[in-house]
Amino acid sequence: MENYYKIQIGPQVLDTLIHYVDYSGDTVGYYSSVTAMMSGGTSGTSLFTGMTIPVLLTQTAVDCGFYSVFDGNLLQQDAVTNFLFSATTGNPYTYFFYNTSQNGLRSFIENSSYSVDWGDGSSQTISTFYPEPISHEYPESPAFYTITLTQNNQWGTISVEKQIQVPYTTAYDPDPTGIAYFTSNVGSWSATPISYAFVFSGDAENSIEAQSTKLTNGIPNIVSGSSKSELNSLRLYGPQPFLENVPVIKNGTEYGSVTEITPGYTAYTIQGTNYIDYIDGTTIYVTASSGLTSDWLQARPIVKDELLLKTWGEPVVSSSIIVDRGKSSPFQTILRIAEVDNVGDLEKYGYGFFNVKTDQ
Amino acid sequence: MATGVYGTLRSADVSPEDVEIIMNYTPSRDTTDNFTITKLDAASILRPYFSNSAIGGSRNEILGGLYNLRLPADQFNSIGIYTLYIRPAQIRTSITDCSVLAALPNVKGIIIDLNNVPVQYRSKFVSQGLVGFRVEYLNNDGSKIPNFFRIVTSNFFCEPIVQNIGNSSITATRYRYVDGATNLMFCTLSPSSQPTNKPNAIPFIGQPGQSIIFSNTFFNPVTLDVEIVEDDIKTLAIALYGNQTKSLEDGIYTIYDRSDNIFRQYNLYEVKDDFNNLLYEVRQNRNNNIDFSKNFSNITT
Repeated sequence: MENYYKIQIGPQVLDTLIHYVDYSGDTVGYYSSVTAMMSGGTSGTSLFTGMTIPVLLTQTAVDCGFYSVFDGNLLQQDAVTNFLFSATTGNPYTYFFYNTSQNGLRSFIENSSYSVDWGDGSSQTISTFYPEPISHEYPESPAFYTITLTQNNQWGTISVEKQIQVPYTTAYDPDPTGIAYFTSNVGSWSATPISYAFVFSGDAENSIEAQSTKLTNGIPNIVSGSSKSELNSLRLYGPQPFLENVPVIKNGTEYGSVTEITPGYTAYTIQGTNYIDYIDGTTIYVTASSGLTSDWLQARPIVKDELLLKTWGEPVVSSSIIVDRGKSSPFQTILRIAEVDNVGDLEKYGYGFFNVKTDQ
Repeated sequence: MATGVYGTLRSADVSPEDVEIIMNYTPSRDTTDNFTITKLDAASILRPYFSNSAIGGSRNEILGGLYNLRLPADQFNSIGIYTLYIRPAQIRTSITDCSVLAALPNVKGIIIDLNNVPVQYRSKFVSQGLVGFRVEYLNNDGSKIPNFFRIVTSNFFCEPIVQNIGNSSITATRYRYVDGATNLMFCTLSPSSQPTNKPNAIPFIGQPGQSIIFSNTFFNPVTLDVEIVEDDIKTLAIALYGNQTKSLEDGIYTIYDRSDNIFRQYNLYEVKDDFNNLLYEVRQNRNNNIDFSKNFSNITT
């Protein structure tokens, strides 16, 4: 049993059972019984005053994600108050409005009242919900209008705005989810509209790349280690396979070059990584890393506010898996047959299967 | 509610002050009907182990999981079986009120008056200090509501405000959070929201005036069965394999341990009848009346 431990204490683990006396100049040891020791102290207390046992305490910890007082329900905010609209090219000035607020889903919004402002100076109170539509005729002249759905509930007002264009043409809306507003009727922020846009336009350059990240180092880290020689991938045609500072071109770009040949070592660079092959057969590599650079990040719009959803989103783990055989170098490339253009490539293409020998 | 729930069994690093140790003693396994439990002072007898440089930590860093429990001499003073039940410390108090937040009427909670909390535990009653604590409930007759508990999901200082309900003239006492320390604490519990499929089924979170027990969830309860015995495998081995001497002059029979310490001494004698017929051969334990002249080295050298 995980939370039950049985411990036996007896003479085997009690050294203080043995006492010593001096008898005619000799030290003689003798045993007391455990029973006598257990009650041999003052007022019948035990003489084992230092008796201890180990205890293991553990905690079953469960990450519940995000504690929320709104426990038990997971709800998107745009399900509380939202609407859809549609139109046809046959009647491009007639728009259909659908109140998609989930009125029956949560008891705290079932007594809410709704009104729609069509953006052309007219508005109306509504009590219908999707799929029942409400139609509205706009003046027959090209214009942009903002439709606003307002929900008055027991703790404030929520409104959602969406922009339309008349006459209706091919549907194209760069911001289909619009802007949501919340106006509290209590507290310090009473009567102050709070809004968030699903597509934020406040930055001068609205991309993740434009933002700074602490995962990038201004001064690159040095990454080094031992490896297998990659020198053969720089082998040249002709009687001299390796020449200093002669670039090797692959696929139209510079692949690398041998930078120094000495009796003790050969130094070369392949795609920014410096290698040194020593005379004893060892190879080290040195390269620089700046951490997670901005070009590793992909700009994606945030379409949900996790806090308002009352939960953190599930982690999305993506991975590009490359299955390589016989890889023995940290920077060894994977080649296709069309990319094999020298002897070193041929060895690499075969993952060492081809026993390539060249006449020096 | 959350998605992506992960769990683990971690080594607890609970403070001894947050631990309760309940002890039950019985001299034998067959006399366990009438037991009396006592409470030991965990803060004075339970000590955590700490790291050191040899294992890569500092002396201020608790090792976690491993604790050393001292068995106090005034409690452990007999041969027998001691059952130790180690559980999270319990904070006994009562519910002052059950209400909602004025600004968020669907947020229900219980209100605790800190004056009703034992002094030694009031330091726990700070903002978010009770998150994760378990709440158990007592009936009016002092019995505990079985198989029922709630978990504290948040707690903040609060103050009452009287608010009109809707457009009616009915007023109700509700609460609002305050930053400064007051004597009232609003604790939200889980579960406390009604299910979507039955909106009028509000989970029970307590009643005003009801006695409740707060317990931390810093570690899982543990039971230790400590059995203190007179003989074990060591004493049997001494009796079987230890050196032995028998004094033919006075009949003292001595058994020694591996280091030739005197383990036991016996008187050997015979019982005869009036006609000098042998009736019994007797081996009698001399107990504490040890004849130290029977020191093994004295005899064999």
